[in-house]
Amino acid sequence: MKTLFINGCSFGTHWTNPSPEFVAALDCDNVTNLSKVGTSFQRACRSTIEWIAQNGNPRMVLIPITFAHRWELALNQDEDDIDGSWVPLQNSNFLSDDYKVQESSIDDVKKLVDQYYKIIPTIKTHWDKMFTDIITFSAFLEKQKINYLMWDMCNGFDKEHLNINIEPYKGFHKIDLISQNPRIIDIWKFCGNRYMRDTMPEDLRQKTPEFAHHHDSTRYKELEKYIIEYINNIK
Amino acid sequence: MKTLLVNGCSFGHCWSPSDKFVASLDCDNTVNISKPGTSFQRTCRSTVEWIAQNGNPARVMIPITFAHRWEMPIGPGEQFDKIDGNWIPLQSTHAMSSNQYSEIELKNNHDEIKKLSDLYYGLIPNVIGYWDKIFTEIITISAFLEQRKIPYLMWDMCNEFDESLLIDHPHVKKTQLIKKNKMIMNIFSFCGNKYMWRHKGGDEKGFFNEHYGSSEYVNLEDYILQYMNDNLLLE
Repeated sequence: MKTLFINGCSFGTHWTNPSPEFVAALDCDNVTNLSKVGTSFQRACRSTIEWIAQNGNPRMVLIPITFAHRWELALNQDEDDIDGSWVPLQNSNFLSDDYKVQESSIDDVKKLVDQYYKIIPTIKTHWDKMFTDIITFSAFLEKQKINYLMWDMCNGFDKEHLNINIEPYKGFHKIDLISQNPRIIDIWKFCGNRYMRDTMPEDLRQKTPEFAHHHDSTRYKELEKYIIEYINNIK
Repeated sequence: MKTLLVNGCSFGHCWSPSDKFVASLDCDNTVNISKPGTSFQRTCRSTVEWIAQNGNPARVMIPITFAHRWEMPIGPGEQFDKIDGNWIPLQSTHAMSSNQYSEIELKNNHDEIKKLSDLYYGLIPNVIGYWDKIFTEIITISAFLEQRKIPYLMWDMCNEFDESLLIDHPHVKKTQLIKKNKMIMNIFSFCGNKYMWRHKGGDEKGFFNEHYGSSEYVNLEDYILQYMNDNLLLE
């Protein structure tokens, strides 16, 4: 079994059937998609490591990087074999009322996330956590000798947001380590959802959000072509 | 310059490695970027950032701090730190010192931080989530150091992880990856503070998480060197 392993948020779950040509081009013969709606990059790292600890190395890992502001806490009443009791967290209006949290209520969870987002002065410095996780998680995949590719799917990172041309935020030298890694598609230039939007016919493109949009399978085929071309270029 | 980089919380901050210990590790100077009250999340982020700014140290030593601590980027923008940016350490309200609070001259006030901390710790039902998060971070930061060919050693300093608590939680098989790694000292049987406590005559069930003096740290250094010799980590 040569498994293509995909893990992200809903922008991964909407990649329902990677084409057979795409899977074969990555030298794989089956697909495991562990993506989960509404989840964070913190969850992508944790659950990928757990899946590998339980199942061994897949042939190839693809990580469409989700929104940087999301996170998770282990609060759920029930556990599953990969995610345990972890529940995804983001702005409270996106949280499902179906959460069954231990010894508490969804209203308390909403109060927490409202307070959390309220006191962060700028989300841009919060990117630092995701950049750290990208660097250390990619090192884990390399240590395991697993081929992988990551790319931003929906953030639209821009160096200007780090004040790079004025007085750069301190503590962000680590972005150079990301730029040096060819297995992370240039996070300052490429964004998966924006790329899929840009390959739409003009009339549709103008009506489609740049970053937060669930594309259909025809767009994912365009993304697959880009990925294959990119991988061939870095070989 | 053959630098020994030490990074942890106050239990790292109050450790001044002896000349003999530093020389035994084939280093000639120590940089200790440990910071009181901080989390392992901060250890990972700041270690990566220090290396991005300064290049590889000759060796890294990480005394692992409390699993329940975390951090948020909520410090004042005009006071960004070279390594820590605007990240502020968080733990339970009663454990956060007045000094830490005085650092937080934010757009937020202290009451807002306290409210967040109380909501956060009020929701979390048990330690399993904290442990799963820190185990994931231990795996990825160790991979980062290995990828850069930096010799390192990590050990629990204050958690006293109990493997029996994980039996009913199949989503933490990832601990097998930690147990296989000799550069992480026996995570379920060794605890730095407890070792120093017992060495100075403290009883088995006594409270061992105190700040020790240099003579106790010399005992810890001797243990570390013996462990490294036994596991061929000094070659």
